[in-house]
Amino acid sequence: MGDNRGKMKVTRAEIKKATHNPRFYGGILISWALAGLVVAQAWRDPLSFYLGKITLSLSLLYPMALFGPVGGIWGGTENIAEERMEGTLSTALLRPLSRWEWYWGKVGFSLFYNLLMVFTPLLGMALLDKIMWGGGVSLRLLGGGAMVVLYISSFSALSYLFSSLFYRPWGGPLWALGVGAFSWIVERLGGGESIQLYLLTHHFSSFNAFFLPQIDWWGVATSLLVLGSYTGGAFFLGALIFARQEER
Amino acid sequence: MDGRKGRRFLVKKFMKSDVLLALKDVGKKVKGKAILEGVSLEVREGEIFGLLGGNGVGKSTVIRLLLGLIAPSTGYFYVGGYRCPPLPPRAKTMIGGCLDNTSFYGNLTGIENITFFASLSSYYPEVAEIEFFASLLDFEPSLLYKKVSSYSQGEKKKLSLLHSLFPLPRILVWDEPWVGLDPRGVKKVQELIVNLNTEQGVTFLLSSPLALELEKVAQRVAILHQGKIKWNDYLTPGLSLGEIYWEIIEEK
Repeated sequence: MGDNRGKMKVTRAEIKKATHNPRFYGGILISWALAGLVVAQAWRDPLSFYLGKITLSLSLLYPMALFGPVGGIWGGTENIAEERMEGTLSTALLRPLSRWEWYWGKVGFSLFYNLLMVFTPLLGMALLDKIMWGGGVSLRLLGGGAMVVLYISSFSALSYLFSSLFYRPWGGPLWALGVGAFSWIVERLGGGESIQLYLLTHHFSSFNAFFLPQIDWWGVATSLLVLGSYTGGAFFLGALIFARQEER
Repeated sequence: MDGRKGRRFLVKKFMKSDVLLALKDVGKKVKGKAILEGVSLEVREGEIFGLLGGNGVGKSTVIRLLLGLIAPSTGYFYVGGYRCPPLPPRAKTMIGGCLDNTSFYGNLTGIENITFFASLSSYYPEVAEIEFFASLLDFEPSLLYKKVSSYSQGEKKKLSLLHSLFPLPRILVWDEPWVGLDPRGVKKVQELIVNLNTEQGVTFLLSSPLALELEKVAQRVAILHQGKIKWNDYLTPGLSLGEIYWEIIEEK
């Protein structure tokens, strides 16, 4: 199943390469800008902000969960389909790496980026909460952040899967968005309540479980299980397909 | 995938000690069309081996196969003591490759690309080392600091040759190393091949459609035509590779 050092080598090299890419900073800047808006609101009216703790989640986590999947899908497409189309995948595979190591190294980079995009502003927010109100929201904020990261990563995983499956670069994003759209439509149509729980978009606002008066641990566990299955399953299936392909 | 042990890989007893690369009755079909049929050849340690053939005869397929990018439909091959496919990372450490159309990241500079790909081999070359090899290829050092998207075809070719030297492997497999280069560039590449071979003991497998250029550096040549090896022998003084090639392709 490949050498972990090989996978780490790819992840480290990818992180270093990404620092030369303006898009790397673009996603982080957007999430920091969102955090900046929340800080500005808190600064202007600290009391009302504190009273409505839910504002934190709505101001920051909601747009992250809404727009984050686009970045996640983009990452998957760029890391597999675009590399294949540009021919850089072949150049990289000339190096002492197996396809398996290359794939999981790329996955490692995507997960790192998702974490960076969501957690750096959240850590800033948690610090603000600690300074201004002595803490209390930090744990909920970080828990909600973890759910958002998992939700974004499930779209990344779908993009990796479909980018591995289809040689065309638009295959990954179109099919990953298609799964999201299908899930959303089935959910909106109602009915079939027994399957709603398993739909990807049903867990869009799973971070809210951390902002109820009592944290909904059952809801958290369910979302973790469903989103974890989507993420792990799609990444693994993508790896199996990718490992058996050729670069002609 | 690469962790398989045992008889698949450690089959040195099958190999003559000085054979570094070998294809054994290799065939390759793509969408039902035979690209290679029963190809067998051996490249011995320290030699410069040439693979001559026209466009579309399967030279690049042989190169991609030996570099582990594709797998044969039939037969197998050896890299070092490893029986392939699959080409394990341990065998890949012995071999450096340059494809006919090696691609790089256009938004990175030449030196950043070299450093990136070398780091995948756990090798971190010094700038002076990169500049030294670049000068041997007549590659303007200032170009190393420009984005690859601004490179000409010849400059990209030189970069692709250059990147395969970090780290310097035991075997270099170069697909059409002088395509897109001017006569001075071709000469520099040929000088580099001979120098690396004589001074560092690097074994070469070079593919080219140009008999004249190949016979300047190669010690032994195989002629590939319609997916089959038609001729495979040492070059001796007075032997014209071009004439042999024409005789073969004009045979019906």
